[in-house]
Amino acid sequence: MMTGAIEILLVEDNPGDARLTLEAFKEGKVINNVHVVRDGVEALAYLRRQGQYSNARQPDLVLLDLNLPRKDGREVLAEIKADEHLRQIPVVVLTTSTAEEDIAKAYSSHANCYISKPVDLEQFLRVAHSIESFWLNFVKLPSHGADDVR
Amino acid sequence: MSSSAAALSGSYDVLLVGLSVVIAILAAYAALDFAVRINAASGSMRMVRLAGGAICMGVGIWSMHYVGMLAFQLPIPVRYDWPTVVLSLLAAVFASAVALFVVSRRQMGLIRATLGSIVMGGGIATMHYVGMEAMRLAAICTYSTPLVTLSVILAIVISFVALWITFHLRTDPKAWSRKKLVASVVMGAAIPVMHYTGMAAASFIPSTTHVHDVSHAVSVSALGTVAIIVITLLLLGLAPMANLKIDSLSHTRQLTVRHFLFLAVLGLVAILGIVLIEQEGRQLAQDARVVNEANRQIMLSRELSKDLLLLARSPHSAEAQHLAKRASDTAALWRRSHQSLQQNHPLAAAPGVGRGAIPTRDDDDDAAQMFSAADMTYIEMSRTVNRVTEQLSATESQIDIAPLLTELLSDEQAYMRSLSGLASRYERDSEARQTRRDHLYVAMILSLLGLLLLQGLLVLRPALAKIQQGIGELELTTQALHRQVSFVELLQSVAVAANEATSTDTAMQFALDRICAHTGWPVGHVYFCAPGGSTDLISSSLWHVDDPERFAALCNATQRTRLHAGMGLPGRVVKTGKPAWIRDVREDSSFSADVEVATLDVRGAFGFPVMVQGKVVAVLEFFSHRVEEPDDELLNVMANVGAQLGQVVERTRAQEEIARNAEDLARSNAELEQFAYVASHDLQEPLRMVASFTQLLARRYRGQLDAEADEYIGYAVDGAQRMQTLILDLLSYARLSTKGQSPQPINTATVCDAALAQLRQSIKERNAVITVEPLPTVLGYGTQLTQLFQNLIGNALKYCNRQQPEVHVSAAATPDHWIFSVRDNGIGIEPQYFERIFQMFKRLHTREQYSGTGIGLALCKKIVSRHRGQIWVESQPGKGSNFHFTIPRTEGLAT
Repeated sequence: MMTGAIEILLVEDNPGDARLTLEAFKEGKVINNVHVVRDGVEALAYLRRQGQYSNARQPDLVLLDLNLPRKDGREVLAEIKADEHLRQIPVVVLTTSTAEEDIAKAYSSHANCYISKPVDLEQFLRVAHSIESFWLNFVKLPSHGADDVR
Repeated sequence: MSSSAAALSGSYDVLLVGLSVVIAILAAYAALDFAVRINAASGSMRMVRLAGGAICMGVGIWSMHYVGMLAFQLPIPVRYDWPTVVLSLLAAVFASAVALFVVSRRQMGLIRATLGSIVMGGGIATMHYVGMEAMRLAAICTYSTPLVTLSVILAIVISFVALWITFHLRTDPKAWSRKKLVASVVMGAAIPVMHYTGMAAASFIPSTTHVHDVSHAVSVSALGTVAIIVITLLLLGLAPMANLKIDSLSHTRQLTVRHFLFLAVLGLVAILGIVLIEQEGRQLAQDARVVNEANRQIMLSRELSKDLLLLARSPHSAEAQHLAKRASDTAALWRRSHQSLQQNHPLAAAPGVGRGAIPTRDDDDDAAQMFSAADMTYIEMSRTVNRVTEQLSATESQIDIAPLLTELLSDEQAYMRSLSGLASRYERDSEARQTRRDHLYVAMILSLLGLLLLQGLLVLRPALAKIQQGIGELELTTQALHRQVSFVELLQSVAVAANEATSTDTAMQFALDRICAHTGWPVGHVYFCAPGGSTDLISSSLWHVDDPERFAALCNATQRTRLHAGMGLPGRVVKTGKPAWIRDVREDSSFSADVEVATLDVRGAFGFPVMVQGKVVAVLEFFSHRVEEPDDELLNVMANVGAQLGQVVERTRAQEEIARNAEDLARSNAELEQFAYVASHDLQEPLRMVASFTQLLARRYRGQLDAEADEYIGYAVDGAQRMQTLILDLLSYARLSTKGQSPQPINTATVCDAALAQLRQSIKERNAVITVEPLPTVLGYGTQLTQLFQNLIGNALKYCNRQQPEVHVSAAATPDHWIFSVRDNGIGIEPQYFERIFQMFKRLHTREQYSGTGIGLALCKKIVSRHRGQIWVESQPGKGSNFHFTIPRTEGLAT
């Protein structure tokens, strides 16, 4: 059962981009809680509720940048998809990279979607809204574990 | 004739022996001449010469043998069986043919020479002994075995020597060298040695019982002897001349005419001599007959007169009767004999008539008087005999007959005296005639020899000199030609190697090896000029050494040496820039003083420079172990080789530089592209921030701040957006070369459609009319071509101030290329900007007029050049532009 607010984990080292994404989702129609982590290690810690994130809620969607400090997005993606508790969470790769190699590698690591960040703000907003409407409105995701629901 | 068992002792006629030796030498000389020429001839000419040589030499040997036989005089008459003589001639010809065949072979080993000389020597010996067998004489011929063996061995040994000399002479290009004359004298002298040894082996024991088949026997007269000699000399003189004529007709035409004149004179003299000698011989025979008859008369009357003398002392009638009878019988004999005498006597042939008519010499007068005296006494005696005969028929008185007989006796004695006078007179005459004949004989031979000698001097010598000169010239020309050919070959091979050489070192090494092979010099080496414009020379590791151990000292000494200009041979070459030659390094003062030259085992040396733009860059030096005379021609060729090598050095230098430049360029290009890529990427991030937040600012706060703030925000948003476009364009420009795919067949119609799809929005906005003709398929890169069409059509739409832009896309074929055209009805371009517009960041308009980064056409140019094509524009300001670009046509692609 949904609790009303959608949980989104945004893994983004660039505070500007993070803020821009937050702003984009702020304009969205769905009530959402966007949690921002700055690197791959933190992202995994958050997902596994380790350390300071022991009380974190499991996100409904992960927005993952590829170029991250400490542990980069490609590794994070691979670890998420290797973890049987986490692999069902949709991961949208949202990055500035348009390199074919990155795209191919992301999909082979079971990324659910690969989106390159549009340069133009209007377009960026459109992308954010379409992510929201597609993943959070139309897509039926498996329900989280009973523990979470309660 | 005596029939004792003692061997007949023969004697030799020295003149004929000498002649036989001369003939042998001539034969040997002719044979050598043929041997040399057989080798030079081929095919049927070879056979003709082989046959001619064999006949010449065979006849020569045979003739020598018979002249030698004629020189051998036995006290009994000798005749010859002519079929056997012919057989012996054939043996000689065969032996000669074998000999010539052996020496005309390409190779002659010891075994072949031995076999050949056995056949040839055996042939000569066969000829000799068959010739001996042809003798017909009243004697048994026996041989001493050791001497016969010796003569055969001599024949074989002589043949061996002759073959050996001939074989080694025949390669001598000078056909008439002194060596050959000496050889022919040796060979010619050797043949008679064999002959006279063989003759010494034979001894003749007279025998009347020994029966010969004399049906084919002929006696050799003076005529025959002369004929043999003349024919031989003619043959031996003619044959080499014929050879000469064949060999070099143009040289000897005049001399040949002279030669044949000489031959004609020779023949005339010979014939004259033969006629004269024969005349004498006939006279001699006639004289001999006269003497014989006279002697017979004398003998007849001597017997009768003996009895008459007895009767005169004591006359008995019965005996007188008998004597008278005998006298009359004898008279009959006398008459016959006297008639014969009269007929034989040359002046008595026509008594009475001839004597007065023919003018006679005193000598003959004298003889005639003597004869008529004898005739008178004969007539006197005949009368007395007639009287005796009459007395006898009467027979009454016996007393009367005795005085008659006495008278007859005295008549007869007188007749006998006159006859013996006549006989002795003829005998004396005969002796004189004999002497005269001998003199004639000698004179003829001498004049023949003299003529031959004269011919040798007047015909052969100039001919030989001319031919020798011709041969000498030919030889020189041939040598020069060979030299030139080998020079050309050398140059050509160096030129080819220079063309193909991938490095200077391989070309230099090739030149070293090739020049050493050409000159036969054992050592070649390269010095390079020290880098940095110095004229110092540094020894390189490029060597050609035929015998490394022998020249180790030289190599070591050279490797240690650094030469300054002017030092040593290479230094001299550097200083003068020209090839240099040292006859003998031991005598050359400039040759490196610090090296003990004498220990290096080299003498002659030369060096030549390798020049690049008039400067020496390397020196090749060569060493010989002999003293070598300077060869300017070779040095000229070497200077040429140096020039060739210089081109290699120049070319490799240029290639190295090009390669270096290309490498630099590629590196800097790659760096630049890398930089552009990274820069555009990294620029994106902050720019996106600026752009996004200014846009966000504009979105959220437009109208909330004052108008100025709105304007500022507008500029910021615009600047950020332009910068973004610029970076994106730069990025696409930089990325163009980073893709390493291979070109694919691309349908440009599809590509054009894709570009139009991208431009759909602006086409719609501008209300443009786009027309596209059928477009071909080319080999290329789809994305790039799409970009190309997109940029060109986009520009056409953009730079247009008409209500309705019109763009026409077409393609035309040339044999090699497709020419694509994108024509518009836009603002057009001033001609002075036709080039400029394709340069990066070059713009013709302000941003206010037309937006843009100045990268679009630069990108087009880059795409076209990546397709190995060209791009250009035709335009008239205000009327429109027509952009053309080419792409190569590829066979087998659909149009």
